[in-house]
Amino acid sequence: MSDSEQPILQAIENGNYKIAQTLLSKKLKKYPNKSYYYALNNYILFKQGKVKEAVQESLKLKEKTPSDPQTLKLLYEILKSTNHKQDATQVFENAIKKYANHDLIFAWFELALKDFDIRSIQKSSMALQKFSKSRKYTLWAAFTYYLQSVQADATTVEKSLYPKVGLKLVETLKPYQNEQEVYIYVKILYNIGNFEEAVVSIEEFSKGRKFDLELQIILLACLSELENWELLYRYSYQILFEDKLDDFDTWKYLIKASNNIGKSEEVADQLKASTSRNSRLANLIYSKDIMKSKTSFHEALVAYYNEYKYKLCCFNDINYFYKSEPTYFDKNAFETLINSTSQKNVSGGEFNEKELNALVNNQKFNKLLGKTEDLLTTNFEYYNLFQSVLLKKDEKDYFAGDEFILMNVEILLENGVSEDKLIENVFKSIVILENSAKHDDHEFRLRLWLMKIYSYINCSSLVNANFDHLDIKMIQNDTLSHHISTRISSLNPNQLMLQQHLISIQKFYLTIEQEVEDMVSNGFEQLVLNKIEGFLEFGTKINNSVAKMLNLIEMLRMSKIIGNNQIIHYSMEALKSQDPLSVPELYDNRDFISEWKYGAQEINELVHNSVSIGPKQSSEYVKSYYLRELILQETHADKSKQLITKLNKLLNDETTQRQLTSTESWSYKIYLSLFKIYIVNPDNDADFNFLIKNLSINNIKNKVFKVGELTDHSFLLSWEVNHKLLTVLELVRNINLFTTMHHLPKQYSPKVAELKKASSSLLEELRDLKREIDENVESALKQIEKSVKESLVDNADISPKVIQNTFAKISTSLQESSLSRRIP
Amino acid sequence: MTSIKPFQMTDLFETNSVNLDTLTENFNGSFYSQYLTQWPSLFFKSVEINSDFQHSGEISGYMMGKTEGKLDKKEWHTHITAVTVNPQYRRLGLASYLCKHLEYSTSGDPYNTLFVDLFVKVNNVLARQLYEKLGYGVYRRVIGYYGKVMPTDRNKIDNDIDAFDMRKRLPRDVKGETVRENGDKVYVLPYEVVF
Ligand SMILES: CC(C)(COP(=O)(O)OP(=O)(O)OC[C@H]1O[C@@H](n2cnc3c(N)ncnc32)[C@H](O)[C@@H]1OP(=O)(O)O)[C@@H](O)C(=O)NCCC(=O)NCCS
Repeated sequence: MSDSEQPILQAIENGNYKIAQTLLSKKLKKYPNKSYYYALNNYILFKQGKVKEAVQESLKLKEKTPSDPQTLKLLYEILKSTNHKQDATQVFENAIKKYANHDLIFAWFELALKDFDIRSIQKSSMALQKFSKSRKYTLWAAFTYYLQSVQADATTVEKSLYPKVGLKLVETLKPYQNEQEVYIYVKILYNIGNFEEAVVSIEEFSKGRKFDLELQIILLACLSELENWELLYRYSYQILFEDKLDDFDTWKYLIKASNNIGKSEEVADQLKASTSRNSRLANLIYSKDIMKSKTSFHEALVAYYNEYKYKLCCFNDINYFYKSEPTYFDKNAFETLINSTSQKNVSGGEFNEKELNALVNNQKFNKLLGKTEDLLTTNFEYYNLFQSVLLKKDEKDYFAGDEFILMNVEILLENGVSEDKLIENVFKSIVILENSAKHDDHEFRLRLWLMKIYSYINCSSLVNANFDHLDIKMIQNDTLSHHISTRISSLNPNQLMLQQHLISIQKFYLTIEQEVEDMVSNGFEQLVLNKIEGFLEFGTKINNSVAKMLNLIEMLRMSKIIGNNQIIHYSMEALKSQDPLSVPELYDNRDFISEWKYGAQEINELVHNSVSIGPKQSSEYVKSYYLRELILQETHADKSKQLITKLNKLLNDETTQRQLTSTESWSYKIYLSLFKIYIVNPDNDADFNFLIKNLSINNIKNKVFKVGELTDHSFLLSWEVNHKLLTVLELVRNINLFTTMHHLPKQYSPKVAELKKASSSLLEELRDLKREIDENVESALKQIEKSVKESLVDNADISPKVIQNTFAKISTSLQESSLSRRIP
Repeated sequence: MTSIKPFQMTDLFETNSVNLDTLTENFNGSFYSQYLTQWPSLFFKSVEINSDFQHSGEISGYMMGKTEGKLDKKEWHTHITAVTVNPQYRRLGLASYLCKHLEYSTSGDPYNTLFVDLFVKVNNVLARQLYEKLGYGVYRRVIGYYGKVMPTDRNKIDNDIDAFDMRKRLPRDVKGETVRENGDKVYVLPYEVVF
């Protein structure tokens, strides 16, 4: 590429394809043999959306076997992005056959890395290795042969042959210089079942040095596969007692091996001598696997419990055996055990951290065992009894008593659903959580829950405040930002949210994309063969993350609602370059679990579904919104028709419908009929009548809002009220925009006029409706405050002041997200 | 039930219950990957054998370590960049275990360092107690290490932003030349701490 091409590239980047073409045609005239210019021309076609032509021309050019890396890169990109993967690969393969040189192959390798295209990474590594022999390239080739063989899409040949080829290659490098080289060798050996050789190799390398952790794990796994109990016993023993690595998996190996060589008595002695958590738990494994005795199992359980009931791990550890060993676990005896402890603690009158932990564990066991009658009352009681522990603790340390609160919030919400008073209990829960968070600023689960239920009552500003308080950043943007951004453009669209949150989340994705590229290529360069797989998987998951796409969709929708043209353009282009329609798989990295890590360590589906902001969105949701926006923008009827067909098909799919709220689903019907009238068949009266009928305020009040909802407090104080109204509003605005951009022939003028009239009068009437709603929300809040005050003070011993402050905060926040603010 | 395993980049999707802790830093992607690339065996995690939420192997904590410094200046050492434990698995000796494993891994070949060191906020009492129990001692106090501006006055102490540089010698430092008594009285500025 020379400087003289810069203006062309610049024009392409800016989307000025006409200018780019004019500049390029001059070049083509002057240098009619330069393949790069032809490739550029195809690239412009591709960028303009003339995909068919771009592909045809690129395939033609490919047949001429061009060889300069720039041309190949462009052809590769066009063909790959248009699902011509094999042709894309051949572009390089053919060129290399004819004019092999290092730079050419390396360019291919780099492109493949960028795309996480493992098959091409493998092919190009192999080509590099063949072309220039070096230790590094041999390792790359060996490693990528292995890597491709374990991919889900590996062919039979790749599965069976590739590991062997990889092995041959890496064997040429003996003796190995470091643990990474040994790693790839034994990893392949393990995969093809040659455990013996793997053991020998690890032993040889580890002579006179400490075990590398990765190799140690493979060594023990191989010995177990080989049933070489002598050696497995020897190494497990060495690791546990000489190297003093108290590792549970190693304990399990020791027990298994000992039993096969008649040394289980010795292990029993070791287990008796040690009181570490792992050994106490290993004792449970021993009693069931070796002794096969229910009594011994219970004794081991008691021994563990007595020692570890003061630690918070106790519940999780025992819960594991409770669930996985129903035949050995004596529920009745265990229940008796925890009952006695529980009473002793409270009557003992000691209120220290140890006793608190024991009580927390027991309440969790009670929940697990289904003894839930008094849970709510006793939880509050214990929480209050142990306030002295809370007051004494270091500010940044944890207070186990918060688990009582978390458990009670769940109980309250569950009761709320079953007794049909969810909204009241949501408010109670908020007060309780705020009260605890005030005294324990850094307990993140309290804040995760506050975010969850503040979202439910539409208090976005309070959700954001908690989000900021948790200092969520970097990769957490991907896993946790759903707390603030789910369906947010239909709840509380505003500049601040757009700028401070959605855009900053998108910035994170742009940064990480670059970081991932670098990490993968550094991984290869530095030959950290045991991390590259993780880098590639991480890159694939983060670049094709559902959360990332959803964030872009929210950015687009929100910027349309608040009228930020720059971001509208940006997010649409970003979505197009991601092209959710052709990504083979989107990955869901969102964390819906961390807030449930308390109590019985389970997601309460009833509660979860009742307080979620609509059904869980996934790739079908992303695709449907993307298609909708594409159609709204598209000006070519042919393309629109194709997109409409796709959208229609998607919406007929159960999986898509399950991800939509009822209002979203309804709105899609309207969008589809609008699109059909304008693009497919303006004579279809059924579509037209359907549209007009649905756009009447009566229909909105009775169909979109269900009868009675507009005066129902539990509805008015939930997120759904905004969601419904703003979804309708977004729809009407989109209709206005669409009918301005698209035109029907003259004979349809009356219809067009009727439609425009219907939508503009609906817009007017929505203004009145939102005023009515806002007033109703205000009075609903007052009423609920009154009833919460009456009930909570006695029940949870919360001061009226806390309740008052919480409601004041809520009231301010609700005003901020009130419809009047959001719809000028 | 804890086992110890090498850390992988993808583990970052599963570490919220550890990383939401206020004293635990969330670094950018390249910081983690740099550690994984340069010191692949010094970044490891403890995993639990439970099957809650259909996840096997909940991450209960991790250690991020590195080696740096010149041997001829007697500064070749292991550094603890981060050690952190999920609140539900604290006070079980897990952090101690992670620290000991790092010592174990670097006190022989190929690293064979002279000492282990770390920085801890003066007011992070929990961590200081942990390290003291493991035999670490304060080597010096770094004034304003965690502050927003570069400090210039080495006598202006502030518990909220100062760090203790704590050290523990490893067997290779036979004579104990890399540690000292009363290090908490030795004040230095951040730029003086370079390796
Ligand atoms: C500091 C931290 C890593 C300790 O983890 P841990 O697994 O609980 O530590 P250990 O069980 O190995 O504790 C060892 C010793 O440290 C001291 N200690 C640890 N936590 C303590 C606490 N909350 N209160 C008092 N002493 C404490 C104790 O002396 C303890 O021994 P003991 O339990 O027998 O009394 C953990 O609290 C944490 O993750 N904190 C947040 C991150 C952080 O600050 N990291 C260190 C900075 S890099």
